[in-house]
Amino acid sequence: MSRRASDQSVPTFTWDLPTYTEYEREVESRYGTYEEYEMEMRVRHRWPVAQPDADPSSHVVITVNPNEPVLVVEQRIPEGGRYAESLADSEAQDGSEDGDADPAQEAKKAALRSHNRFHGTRKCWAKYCWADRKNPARHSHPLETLSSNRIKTIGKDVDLLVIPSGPTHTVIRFVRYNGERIGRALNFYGPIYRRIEGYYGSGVAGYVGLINRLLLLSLFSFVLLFGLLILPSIINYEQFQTKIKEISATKPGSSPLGIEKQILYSFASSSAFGLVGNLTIDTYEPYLTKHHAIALANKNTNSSRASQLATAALELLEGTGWMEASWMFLGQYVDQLDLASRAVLPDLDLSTVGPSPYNLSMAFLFSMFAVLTVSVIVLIFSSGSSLKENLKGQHSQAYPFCEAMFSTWPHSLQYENGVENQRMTETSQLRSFLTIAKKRAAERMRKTTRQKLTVFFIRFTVWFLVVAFLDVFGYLLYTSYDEWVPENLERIAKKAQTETEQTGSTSSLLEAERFVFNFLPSIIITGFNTILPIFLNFASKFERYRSTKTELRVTLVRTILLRLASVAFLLMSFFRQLEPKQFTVPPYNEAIFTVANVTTTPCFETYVGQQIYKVLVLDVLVAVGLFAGVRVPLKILHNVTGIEVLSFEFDLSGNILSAIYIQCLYWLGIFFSPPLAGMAVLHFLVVAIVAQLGIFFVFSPSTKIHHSSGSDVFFTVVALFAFFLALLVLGFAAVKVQPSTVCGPFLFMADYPTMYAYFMATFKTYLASAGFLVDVAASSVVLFPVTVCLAVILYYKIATARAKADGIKILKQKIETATAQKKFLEQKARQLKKFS
Amino acid sequence: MGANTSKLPDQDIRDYQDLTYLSKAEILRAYKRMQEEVAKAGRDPHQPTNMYLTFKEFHRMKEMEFNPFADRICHVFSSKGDDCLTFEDFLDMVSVFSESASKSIKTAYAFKIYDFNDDGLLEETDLAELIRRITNPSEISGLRSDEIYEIVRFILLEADLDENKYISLTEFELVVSKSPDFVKTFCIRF
Repeated sequence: MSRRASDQSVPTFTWDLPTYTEYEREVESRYGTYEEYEMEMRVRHRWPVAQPDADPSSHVVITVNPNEPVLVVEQRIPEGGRYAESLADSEAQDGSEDGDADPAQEAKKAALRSHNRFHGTRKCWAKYCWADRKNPARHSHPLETLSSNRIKTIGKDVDLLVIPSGPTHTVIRFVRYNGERIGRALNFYGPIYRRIEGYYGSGVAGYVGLINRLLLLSLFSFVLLFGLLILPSIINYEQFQTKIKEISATKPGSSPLGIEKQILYSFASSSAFGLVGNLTIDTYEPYLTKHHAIALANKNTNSSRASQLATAALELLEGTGWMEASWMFLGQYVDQLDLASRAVLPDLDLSTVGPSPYNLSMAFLFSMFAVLTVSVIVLIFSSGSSLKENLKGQHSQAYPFCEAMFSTWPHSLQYENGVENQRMTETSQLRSFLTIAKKRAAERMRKTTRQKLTVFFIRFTVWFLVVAFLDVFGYLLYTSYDEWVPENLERIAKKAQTETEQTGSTSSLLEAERFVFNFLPSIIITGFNTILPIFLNFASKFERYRSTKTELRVTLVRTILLRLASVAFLLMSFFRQLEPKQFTVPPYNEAIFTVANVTTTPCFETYVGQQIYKVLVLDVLVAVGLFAGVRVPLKILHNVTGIEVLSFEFDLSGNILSAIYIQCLYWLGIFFSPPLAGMAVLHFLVVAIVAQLGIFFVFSPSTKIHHSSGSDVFFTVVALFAFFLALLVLGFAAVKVQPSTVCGPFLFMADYPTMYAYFMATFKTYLASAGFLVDVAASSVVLFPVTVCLAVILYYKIATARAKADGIKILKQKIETATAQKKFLEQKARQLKKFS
Repeated sequence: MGANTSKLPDQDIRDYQDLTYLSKAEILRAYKRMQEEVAKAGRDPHQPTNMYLTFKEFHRMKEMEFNPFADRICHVFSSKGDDCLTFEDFLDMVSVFSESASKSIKTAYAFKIYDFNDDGLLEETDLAELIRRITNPSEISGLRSDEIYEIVRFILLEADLDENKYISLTEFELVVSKSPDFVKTFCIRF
């Protein structure tokens, strides 16, 4: 009810009206009378019971003020002892419930009650009702609030509103409460998050939240992969070792390693593979675990300890050498037990080495599936609410001023400089809106043809440059993978060989050269990803976009293009190398397996894993290096000299995009190197720490307003797109590409051309009938109708959305009609006054 | 939890849980927070009748210290209208500013907070005051008063559908419902 101090001279029309609000009418149509409903609610919620309002002096006063076109409606409700009564009632009720309580406690409770409104005069709480406190008996419940939390429908079942009790609900409460506690414990940045929000508002805090979510996601992935894949693999291998040792103990003249080698050789030399050509068992060196590690160790024994350490460190960065022989890459995930049970050796009895109860190949497929499923669920649900909000507010462009006024001030700001900065931002934003609005109001500023042409030319040039840069980037990456790296590494390897022959060791310069060429593709990717965004930001300033919002968007689209392009180029260059005919033994894996005739794809899983690992390692190093080596010194310089140019804003969208890019690489990477999930945890920790240090100490707050929910949705869409890109690639790898036969979980499985074929075959042996069902489900007989059904549902949804949009239009028209009627009434009132 | 929070009876916590948007943990945190503030003000926080905050004490809280609307928030949530918050008022406020509160509740309270003269309408003076509070107060770089009134005019042009020179709650709700950011910005974590 609106009220306004009215003038003495204003005539007052007073008449009795039913004091119903819209809400009461709604309720009445559902529950009988409003009083009944209210009583019900009061009992349910233990609100103080009020007497039905039967006071005759209750009436509504409507005042029409002719000078000001305001309709004044005032509801007068007698003040009286009603609440005192209800207080007594509720106290009596409470008292009867626990009659034999201790008197001291009773007194305490009474004191609390007398102090708190809830047991006394409190009528209305924010959750269910926000009625004017002056009219506490009349609740104006917005319907939406009733459907909050556990109350889902406002149908006939008021019973849903009963506060649940009993054992099941106690359990539910316990779980919910403890779930919350666990959630809070996992929220690593709870307090920091609040602090960032206090400084910068919700936009930047949202970024930290995103990093936190990604961190938790990778932590979960790592736990999953570790439990399902990495740990079983290690246990499997250890079991195999003990069993082999037992066998070799019974047989004189044989070593565990020798037996392992024999097993592998028996497969490699079999007609199905024919990998070894004219190699004998003595010259054959399998590309696997212990063998590999020992071969590597033997190679380095003559060098000094310091140089050994240096080599080990280099190998850590490159993912070669001992890293290659560790559990880091998929190549080493071999089900040795299974292999031994399948092998047939003439002079050895392997019957004690039974097949493993745990199928590693299936575990690999299932754990990947689980990780990807969890990822997509987290992605979708993390932005569900803001997506909904954003869809609701699609037409917010119509109210730029109102949005700037009512919904951009972050109430969470807690620090003085944050508030000041926000004020500056608001000021500039409002001012720019004002200028734009004035321009529009003063009949759109007409651009001359010449100006139009200039702007078009500039924009065209910049877009052309961007595309050209991307082309150059793609070309560089492609050639580096295809030509420069292999050629140069071959040259270096030859040179190293001659040097070793002459002097006994290789020079450190040659080592450095090799290292650089090993990292060349990663350097190209990271370099472009670091430098191009700066150029893009710079370029968009010249393009004369009308508002900063458009400018921001254009830059964002270009940056996304760059990020996606770098992932796509990387993948393209991999697939090019996977073409079996083109592939020779990669010369840059120094301790590669000795295989005579490589006709099939060699261990590409490890190779791809290494490449992605290198890109990620370089990304961490560059992020830390750029921060510590460039940003911090510049900030110090800025503090000393006070030159404005040296201070940088925190580039929110760029940072979010780079986080998504990193996550995309990890999605791709864990397929080829499961422990990368663990590295992802560390990586995101580093990103979070760098970002927080930057936010608190280095970067100046952004002068642009970040529309948090809008950009949330945007970034989620980008993340989903990146996810599906990764999914497409992984799906292709699983369904179309033959897994390497010399390493990995699908070692020496000649019968299965792809991972998917293996999966289907194994699935059918486990569940014959379900296998049939899967076949049916994947057939076109089912898929076609399902697609049609989906299309129909899509059409239905679109139609409903359109109908709702029309409904909104109609409602708007109704408001306008109501306004017209009100004006008409006012006119009549004025006329009445004139005549009276 | 512990000695401090044991003062809040379980029954009350359950009631509060059902009446606000807060979880048990959040209610306990709010209680603890209030106790801290009461203790800072020099009263005994274990005495239930001491559980109130005057405006000055409220304004001293770190969440409110630099909020340009602290006085309005205190005024709107004070149930007795004396700019004094009891624990339940405080809880009410925490609930409204929590992330789980519904948009309509937030909208309604935002309207009350921005309605500086408490007349149930957002008029030109209210809007101008709002602009003054959220923009730069400096005379040189801040908005001039003619600019402010121009902005007010544009706001009324956008939001005042029935052209009666003020924004009513319905109009405010309509405008805010189109803005996806509102719920996120109208949030304070206590």
